[in-house]
Amino acid sequence: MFADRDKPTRVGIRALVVAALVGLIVLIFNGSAAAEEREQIEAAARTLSEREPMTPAERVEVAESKIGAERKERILRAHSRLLEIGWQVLTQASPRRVLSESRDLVKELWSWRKPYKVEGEALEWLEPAVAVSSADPELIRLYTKMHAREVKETSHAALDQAEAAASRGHFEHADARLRRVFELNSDADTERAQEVATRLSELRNSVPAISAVAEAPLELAVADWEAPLSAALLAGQYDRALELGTDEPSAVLAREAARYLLGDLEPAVRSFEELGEREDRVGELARGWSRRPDVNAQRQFELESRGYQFTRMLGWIGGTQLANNGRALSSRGYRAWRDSLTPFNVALSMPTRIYKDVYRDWRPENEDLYDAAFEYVAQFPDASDSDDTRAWLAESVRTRTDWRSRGWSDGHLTLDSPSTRFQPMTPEPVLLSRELIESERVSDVAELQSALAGAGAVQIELETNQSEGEPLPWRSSLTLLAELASVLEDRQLRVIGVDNARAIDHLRRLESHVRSGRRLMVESVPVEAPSLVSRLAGTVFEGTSERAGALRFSRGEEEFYALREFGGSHLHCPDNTVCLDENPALSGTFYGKVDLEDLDVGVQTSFHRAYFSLGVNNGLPNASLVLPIAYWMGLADWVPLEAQVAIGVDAISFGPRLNPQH
Amino acid sequence: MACLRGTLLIGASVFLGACAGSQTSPPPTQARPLTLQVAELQMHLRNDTYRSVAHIGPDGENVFEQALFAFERMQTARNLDYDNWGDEDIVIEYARARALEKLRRYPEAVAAYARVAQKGSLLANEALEARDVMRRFALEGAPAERPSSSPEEDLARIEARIAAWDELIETYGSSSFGPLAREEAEAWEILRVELYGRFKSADEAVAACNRLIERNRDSKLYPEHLIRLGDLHAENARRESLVLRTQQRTFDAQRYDRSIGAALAAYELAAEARRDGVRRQAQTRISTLLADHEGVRAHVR
Repeated sequence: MFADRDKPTRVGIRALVVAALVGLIVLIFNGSAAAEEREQIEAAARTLSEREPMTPAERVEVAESKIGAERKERILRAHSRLLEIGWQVLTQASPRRVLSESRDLVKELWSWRKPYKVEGEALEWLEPAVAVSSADPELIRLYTKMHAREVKETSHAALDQAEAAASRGHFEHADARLRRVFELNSDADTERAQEVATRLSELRNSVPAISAVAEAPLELAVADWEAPLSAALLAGQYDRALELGTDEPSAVLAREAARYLLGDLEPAVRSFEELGEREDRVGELARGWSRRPDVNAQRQFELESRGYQFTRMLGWIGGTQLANNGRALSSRGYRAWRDSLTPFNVALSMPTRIYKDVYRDWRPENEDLYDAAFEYVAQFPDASDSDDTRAWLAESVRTRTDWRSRGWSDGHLTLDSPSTRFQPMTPEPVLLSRELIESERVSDVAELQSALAGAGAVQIELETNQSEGEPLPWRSSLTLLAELASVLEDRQLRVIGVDNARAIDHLRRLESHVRSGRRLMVESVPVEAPSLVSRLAGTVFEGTSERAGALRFSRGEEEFYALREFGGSHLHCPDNTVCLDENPALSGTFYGKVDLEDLDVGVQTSFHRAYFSLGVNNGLPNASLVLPIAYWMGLADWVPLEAQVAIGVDAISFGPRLNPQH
Repeated sequence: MACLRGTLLIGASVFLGACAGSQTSPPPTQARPLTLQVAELQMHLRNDTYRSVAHIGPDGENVFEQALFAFERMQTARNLDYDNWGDEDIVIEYARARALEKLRRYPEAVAAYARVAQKGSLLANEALEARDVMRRFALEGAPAERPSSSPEEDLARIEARIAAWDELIETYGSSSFGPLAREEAEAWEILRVELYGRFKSADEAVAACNRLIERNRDSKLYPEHLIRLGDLHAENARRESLVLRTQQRTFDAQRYDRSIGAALAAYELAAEARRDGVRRQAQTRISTLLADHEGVRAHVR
C-alpha cells in the first residue's frame, strides 16, 4: 500500500492510524471506571454525624488498615516480579535476565521476614489506648504482637552494640547496653545476652588490674646556667639570653627561642629545623616551634601553596567537586574523577575553567593559604617571590568574602536571608498566568486586569512592608481565592512549584489571612526577556541547566539537550512561589539531543496516560506509542501491563510491556 | 617503560632518604627539664587566648595546665623551704605564676608573684609589676560577697563588672594582660545575654546578644555567640508557635518566619567556622530547627 511513498511518510501515516485507534480506546475506557459516588456520600454523612472519639476497635482498624496496605504493596511487588519473569520466559529472553529477575523475586520474598515499615506508625495508633489500660482483647493482641517484634529488634541492636563495645574495651558502655537487653527481656536474645555477659566478664578479668604505681623519687638536675637563661627568657630580656648558657642542645634551643622573639627570624627558624631532627625532647620542642605558622612562615606558605596549586589543578579539571574530593581514596573520590572525565567536560568545561582562572574568577576557598601567605609576606617583605604573592593576595583579599566579615557594615552585624530553604508560615506569593486570568475560571477584577496590561503574568501576595503593586479589594480577594481553589479541587489547573493539594492548602492559608484583615496585593510580572546566547553558553560551558522562555537547555555527561514545551503558557515559576496556569488540552515537548556522534529531534506528548513520541533518531524516523491498557481497565494494581507500539521505517511492532513506574 | 622509570625513581629516593637520615641523626644528650619547660612555656605565652584556641590541644588539654603541672612537679622534686630557695626555685615559681595567670587563677598568681618579688633578687621587678596587675584582676574577678536578691540586682552587678573589665582593657589592652581582661569582659557579657534571655523580652535578649557579638567580633568564641544569637531567634519562633497552639492571640506568621530566617542565617554563619566542633553544633541546630518548624507548620490551621 505504501510502496510508492518514502519512509518518513509511511511512519507518519502508521502513527496517525495508531493514534486514532488510541483515541478510540481512550474514549471507550475513560468513563468505564464509574465512581461509587453515592456510597461515598453516605459514608461521609455517617462520619459527620458521629461525635464520639475513636473507640479502641476503630484504632485497631486503622492500625490494621495501615499494615494491610503495606502487605498489599508487598504482594503487588512480588506479583509484578513474577509477571516479569513470566514475560521474560514467554519472550525467550536471555537466561541471565531470567535469573536476575528470579533473584530479585527471592530477595523480595526474603525481605518479608522483616517487620512492616508502618509498624511504628501503627503502634502509635495503639499505644495511647494501651497506656490507659484498654481492655479490648483485639487491640491488646495486635499491640503485643507488634511490640514484641519491636522489642526483639531493639534488643538485637543493643546486643550488637554491647559486643562491639566489649571488643573495643569499652566495658562500661557494653555493660549499659547489656543492662538494656536484660530490661527488654526479649526471649529470642536471652541466650546470646548471657554469652555476651560471660565474654564481657572474661575480657574484663583479662585486663591487668591497675596496681598502685610506686612513686619513684622525683629528681631535678639543674645546671648553673639554667636559672639565668630561663629568667632572661621569662623576663623578655632576649638580648641577654643570647649571651647565656652553654653549647648543650637545651641551651641552644632556649637561645634560638630568644633570637626568634627578638625578631631575627630566619636564623632562628633554620636552627629550629636543625634541632628538630633530634629524637629527644629538645627535637620535639624544636619541631613544636618550627611547626607554628607564625614561626616558620616560609615553610608553611610553601606547603600551603603546593597544596593550593594541586587543588587548583583539580578544580580546572573537574570544578569544585573534583577540587574537594579528588584527593580522597574512596568512592567519593572515584565518583568525582568519573564525573570529571567525560568528553563534554574535557572538551568544553575544562578549557572554560582554565580561561576563567587566568582572570582570577574561579579559586578554591583556602583560608589556611591566606593566613600562611599573610604571615609570610609580613615576615619576609623583601623575599624575591613575595611581590607576586602580595599582588594576588591583595586582590584575592579584596574579592573574597571572609565568613567573619559577612553581614557586617559600620560595625553592626545584619543577618542575611538564610540559604537553607524552609517553607515559611506566611503564605508565599501566587503567580497567575495571563491565560488563566483571561479565562472564564476567574471573575473579571479591574485590579487584576490593569496589572496584566503589558505583563506576562500577575503575582498576588499578602501585603508586607516591602510590597509593591495595588491592593485587591477584600471581597474580590476572597472571591478570587475561592474560585482558584474550586478549579484546583477539580484538577483543572496546571500547578507549578507544588502539588495540587499543597496549592489548595496554600490558597486556604491566604484566605484565612485575608479574613483576619490582611490585604492581598497584585503586582505585574513582566514578560521575561531571556538572553538566549548567554543561557546557551551557560549550559554548554558550565553544564548548568538554563531556561530561556519556553526553551530549556541542559547538559548530560556526553550529550546536550534543548527542550521546548508546547501547550500551557511557558510560565517561569520563581522559587518559593506557587504558580497556576491553564491546563492545556494537549501538552508535550519538542526535544533535540546532540551528542558527539548524532543528532536526535522529536516530539513527545501524553493524553490520558497514553504516551506518544515521534522523532528522528540515528537519521531514521520512528514513532512510539504506549497505551496503559491495564490502567484504563482498572487492573493496573494487579497487572501493570501496557501496550507498546513501535513504528519504524520497515515495520510496526506491537507488544505488551510492564509499567516501569509500577 | 614509564613504570620502570617510576620504580627506579622511588628506589633512588628511598636510598637517598636513608643516606640523609643516617648522616644527620645527632647523638642524644641530656635534656635540661627547666630550660626546656621554660622555652616551651614561652612558646605558648605568645598565644592570644582571647582570639585563638591554639593553647587547647586536640583532645581538650590546656597547655598552661600542663606547664603548671610540670613546674609544680619540679618544686616537689626540689622540696625546699621558701627560706632556702635558690635562683632555680625563683624561676620555677615565676614560670608557675605565668601559667596561673594564663589560667585566670588570679589570687594564686598574686601569691606566686609575691613570693618571687619578696626574694628581691632574680625577676623581682617583673614579679612586682605583674603582682600589682594581678591584684587588680583578682579584685575584679572576686566572687560577690552575698548572693543577689533579684534579677535586676544581678544585671546591675553584671553591668558593673563589665564596666570594670572595660577599664582594665583600656589600661592593659596592648600588654600581655589585654587578652585576659577581654576574656573576662566577654564572659560577663555572655552572662548578661543569659539573664536577658531569662528575664527580659525576646527582643532585648537578641539586642544584648548582638551587642556581645559586636563587641567581640575577633573573639575565638565568635561562632559560639552566633549560635547563641540563633538560639534566641529560634526561641522567639518557639514562643510564637505556642501562641498558635494555645490560640491566646492571633498568630503573627511574619514574626515567626522572620525569627526562623534569622536563626537559620545565624547558624549558617557559625557553620562556616573553622573549628569542627562548633561547625557541627551549628549544622545540628539547623537540622533541629527545620524539624521543629515542620512540626509547627503541621499545626497551622
